[in-house]
Parts: sequence; structure tokens; C-alpha cells
Amino acid sequence: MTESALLEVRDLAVAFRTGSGEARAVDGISFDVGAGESLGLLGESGCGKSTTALSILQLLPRGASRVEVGSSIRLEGEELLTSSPARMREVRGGEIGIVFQEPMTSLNPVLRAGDQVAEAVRAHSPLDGARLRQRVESLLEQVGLTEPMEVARAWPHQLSGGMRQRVMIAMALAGEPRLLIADEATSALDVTVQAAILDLLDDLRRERGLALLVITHDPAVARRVTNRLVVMYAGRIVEEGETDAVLDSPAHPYTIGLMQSIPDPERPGTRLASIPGTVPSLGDWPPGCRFHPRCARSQARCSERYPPMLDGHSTRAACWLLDESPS
Amino acid sequence: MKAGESGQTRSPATDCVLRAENVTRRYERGRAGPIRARKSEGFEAVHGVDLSVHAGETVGLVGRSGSGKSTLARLMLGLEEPDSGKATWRGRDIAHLDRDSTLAFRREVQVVFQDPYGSLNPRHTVGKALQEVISFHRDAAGAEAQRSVRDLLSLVGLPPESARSYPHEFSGGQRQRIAIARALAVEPGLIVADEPVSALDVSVQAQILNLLIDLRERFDMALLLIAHDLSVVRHLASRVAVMHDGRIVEHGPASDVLSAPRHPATRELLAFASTRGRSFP
Ligand SMILES: Nc1ncnc2c1ncn2[C@@H]1O[C@H](COP(=O)(O)OP(=O)(O)OP(=O)(O)O)[C@@H](O)[C@H]1O
Ligand SMILES: Nc1ncnc2c1ncn2[C@@H]1O[C@H](COP(=O)(O)OP(=O)(O)OP(=O)(O)O)[C@@H](O)[C@H]1O
Ligand SMILES: [Mg+2]
Ligand SMILES: [Mg+2]
Repeated sequence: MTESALLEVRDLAVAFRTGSGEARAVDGISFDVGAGESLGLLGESGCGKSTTALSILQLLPRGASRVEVGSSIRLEGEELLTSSPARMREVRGGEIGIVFQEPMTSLNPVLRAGDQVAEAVRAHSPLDGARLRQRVESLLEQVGLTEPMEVARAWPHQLSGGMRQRVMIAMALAGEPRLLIADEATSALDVTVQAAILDLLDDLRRERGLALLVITHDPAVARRVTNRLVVMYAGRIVEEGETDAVLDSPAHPYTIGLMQSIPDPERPGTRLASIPGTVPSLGDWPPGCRFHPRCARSQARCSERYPPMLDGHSTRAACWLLDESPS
Repeated sequence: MKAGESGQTRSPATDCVLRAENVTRRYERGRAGPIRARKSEGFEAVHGVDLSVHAGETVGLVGRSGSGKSTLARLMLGLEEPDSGKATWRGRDIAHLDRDSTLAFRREVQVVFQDPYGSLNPRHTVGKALQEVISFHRDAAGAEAQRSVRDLLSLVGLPPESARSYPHEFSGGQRQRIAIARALAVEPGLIVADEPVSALDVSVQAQILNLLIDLRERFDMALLLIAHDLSVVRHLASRVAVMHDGRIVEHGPASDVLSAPRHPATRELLAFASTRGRSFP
């Protein structure tokens, strides 16, 4: 076995309890994030990206969800899934920072923004008084809030969508984490601020070895800030490889379809190509490859057996089309 | 015609669905707080803005974070009152509508908020939430309303079983689509949509953008579209207004504003657009 990565996720499977029984939202996914590395997670809405992120920090709704036996999530070799609640509180906001997808629901509406950042700082360092205020101010400044003290005094509802998102990013960075999980962390930001935040994350990665797990639906964000990219579909990983390779020469028909749905600036107002059909609902996965009912190139075996990850031209993909051997 | 509306393509007054006339909104902020006690004066989040949306047209509203886009949208929807100026719906001041007109206004003009979670009732299943809107505005009940719920969900790419689930049981992008389905439930004349596709992968986004284009063509639906992603704005909008520090600093046909920007704020937005443009060199 090679040197262990900072974060190792193995065979992660997560089920939700719903009105009509239990269904898996994440179904056996594995990936690594090395120290100072940036991994992107891209995929269809509802494919299990946020569920994956939340399970790493054990933030899934209790009672309504279950991480299946056989799953493993290791942080520098330490198994997190069996860690004590006290240890997990240390990990959250300590070794691992997270920016949640919906900033309004994750900020406390009855605490001023600055107090929430201060709380995040104090959870992991004993700063007080003026030093604490300075730290809060510099964190808010770092994420491009030009009037940090104004923002610090504001209640969450007084901030714009993009300001809230940046307060969340400041909180996630407050504990100087080794790994930052960013779930659509820049989707509510204008392109200028977005570029600045992505550059900040990239600098922290280079200078401090901050590892990044970047969940995004925006291929351009993935390209700007990640080295490697994992594409998910219906709870599984369908393609992985170097970011540029996955985006420029994808092998999986799902990834190919995704790239073709991007609006063409030369043809405004025209109908866009989109992948026909819709994602099957949770737990209603078709047999074999889960994408096959929507795939123009599906063959007989696609509906029979789930394809293993196979080597493609420059990426690896779970698709029978890459299989050279006769079926 | 006001100076700020030079980019307007259709002008008969009756055609105008929603209009902001010289609206200003001031907020107080920075009362003594635990972080640092200092009292600061209020500031104007929106300052003297004119903007109108006509039947069948899509107006894009862009600008940096905090420039006042969502605030302007709230003013035009009557969710907040301007300190000066007024917002009008079909020529009538929104602040002084009688009960019947308020109902008609609430029906014709729908909204998709930037934060979909906050706008959905956590205790109602999605089916119930949609059904309520349908029966309130459309006089449909029972089986007919249920059928509409299924149709709406499939329009936004969600399976019919979703009707039985609660908002917290969905992913971010699924919730965003539920908010869109709710806005479409009453066949609105105008949708004010604040970042309606920001949480969607590009394929589902394409599906939603196609849907909006269809509705525009079939029902002459108008759209006031706030979006950071300029490729989305370019794709849908015929007219674009650029906000900067609470003012509209540039306004005109989308093709002009987005290809030959005149104001530095617009140029700045466009300079970085390649990071979000989703088109790859
Ligand atoms: N608390 C819950 N109860 C039941 N089902 C849930 C719950 N949370 C999520 N799900 C379902 O699990 C699936 C995965 O959701 P998840 O939030 O991980 O998706 P995602 O990939 O992050 O999507 P998006 O890009 O839209 O944010 C979805 O189909 C969702 O409906
Ligand atoms: N209720 C409020 N009280 C005080 N200040 C507010 C309130 N709502 C908004 N603001 C302030 O008004 C300014 C404009 O906010 P607005 O939400 O309109 O921006 P926006 O252009 O929508 O930004 P974003 O793109 O980040 O969503 C911001 O400085 C914000 O902090
Ligand atoms: Mg998500
Ligand atoms: Mg806003």
C-alpha cells in the first residue's frame, strides 16, 4: 500500500429513510484527497454530492439516514466513522472546514455575522478581545468583504446572498483547516468575487498545503481550482481523471452530454441540448449501468451488469463502451 | 421615455407589466453590536432606479454581489416599500392596490427567490405546497390539481413521487426546481427569478432554460432574471441592466451591453466572465 492520503473515502454508501422505505443516495464510492491537492466533484443535481460531503463530517440528519456497514472514511489513517462525538467536534472546523451549499440555512439568524465568525475562531484557538476582533476582521477581508466591520455587525438577513456565502467561507477558514470542503461555495457570487475567492483557495493550497474538496456544477470553476475531477451519477462515480482531461475529452456518455449542455455564446435564445430523460428517483435505479436508459449508445449488456471503472483515452470511466474484450 | 430606458424595444404603456420609477431604498445598519460599538448612518441599497419589464420580454439584471439586485427585486414585487419613488404593476402603484387587484397582482407576478429553502414551508409536502397554490389561484381541486402537480414536477425534471416528500428531503438543486415549479403553477405573466439556475448542473440548467424559452414563446411570459452567470443572461435576455452601488449604470439591448460594454462595472464583470462562461477555449 502506498503512503496514505489526507482523506481516504472507501466504499461509502449512505441510505435515507423515506416514506416508502430506505433508499441509497450514495452507493459505494471511493476517492482520495492528498495533502495540498484539490479534487473536484461534479455531477447531476441529486446524485449524492452533498450527501458525500456531509457524511465525511457526520452531519447527516440523524434518524433519517444511515451510513452502511463497510464504508470507511479516513483522515490521515484515522477512521472517522467510528470516532467519538467529541473527536468529531474537534475535526469539524478544526482539521476539516466546510462551506455548506445553502448559506442562509446554515447561518444562525439570531447571531450577528461577526459573532458567528468569532465563534468559529474560538472553537480552535483561545483568542480574545482585540486580537479576536482583528482575526475576525482579517478573515472577512480575506474573502473580499471590503467593509468587514460593517458586515460583522450585520444580522444574516441584512446581508446579500453573496455576502452570506462569503461569511460562510470565512467561518470555514477560521480554524485553519487542513482540508476544506466547499459545496457550491461560489455559486452565488458574481464572477469577479468568484475569481478572487478561487484564487484565495488556490493560494492557501500552494502556500499552506490546504487540501480542497470542491463540489461544483460549474465546469469552469472545476477547471480553475481543481487538479483532479470525479463525476458522479445516481450515487456512483462514473468518471475520474485529471480535470482538463475529463472536461476536454470525456469518455463517459453522461459527462459528454453534460459538456454539450453548456450555452453557446454564439447562439443566444436557441434551445439548448440537454440530456434526454430525467434522473431516476432515489432507490429506483435501473439494473446495470444507471445511465443506460438515457444513453444513446447503450447496448444489451449495459442493462445487465454495472460496468467497472475502465481505462479510457485519458480518463477512467464506468462504461462498457471502453471494454475491449468481447461481451 | 426616460434616459435609463433607451434600450427598451417595445414601448406601449399597456404592454408594461412591472416598473420601478425612481425608487430608492435606505437601510439602517451598524447599530452598537458586540463586535465593535459604532453607530453609522444608513446607506442607500437602491438609489433612484428606473426599470421596466414588458410582456414577453426577458430583462437581465446583473451586477456585483451587494450591488442591490435582490433589494430592487423586492421593491418591484411590493415585498418592501421604497423610501421614495414607486413600483407599479400595469400602471398602478403597488403600494395602493385594492384587495382584488392585490390578488390579481400576486397571481400574475410570481417569484423564485435566491434562497429556495427559506421560501418553502418545511412542514408541507411538496405536493401539498403546489396544490395549495393551484387551488388558490386556479379554482382547481382534487384530481385535477393532483394531475397539475405531477405535470409541474415533470416540467422541472423531478419524478412524480417527489410530491410526497418534504423540502428537507431534497438536494439543493432539486429544491431550486421546486421553487420554479411553484412559480409556474399559476401560469404567470411575469416571473421575477433571483439566481434561478445557480445550483443546477449544466444539463438540468439547459432543461430549465429551454422551459423558460418555451413559456415565453407560448404564453408571452415575461422574465426579470437576476443571474451572476453571464452566459445564462446572454442566452435568455433581450435587455440587460447593470447595477453598481445601488444604481443602474448601464442599460440596453443584451447584445450591446454584453459585447460592447461602456461602463467600467460592466467591463469588469465581462473581464472575468471567462471563468464562469462554461465555454472552453
Ligand atoms: N434528508 C433526506 N431524506 C431523504 N432523501 C434525501 C435527504 N437528503 C437528500 N436526499 C436525497 O438524496 C439524493 C442526494 O442528495 P444530495 O443533496 O446529496 O444531492 P447533490 O448531488 O448534492 O445535488 P445538488 O447538486 O442538487 O445539490 C437526492 O435524491 C435527495 O433527494
Ligand atoms: N434588510 C436589510 N437590512 C440592511 N441592509 C440590507 C438589507 N437587505 C440588504 N441589505 C444590504 O443592501 C445591499 C444590497 O443587497 P442586495 O441583497 O440587494 O444585493 P445583491 O445585488 O442581491 O447581491 P448578491 O448578488 O450578493 O445577492 C447590501 O449591502 C446588503 O448588505
Ligand atoms: Mg448538493
Ligand atoms: Mg441577491
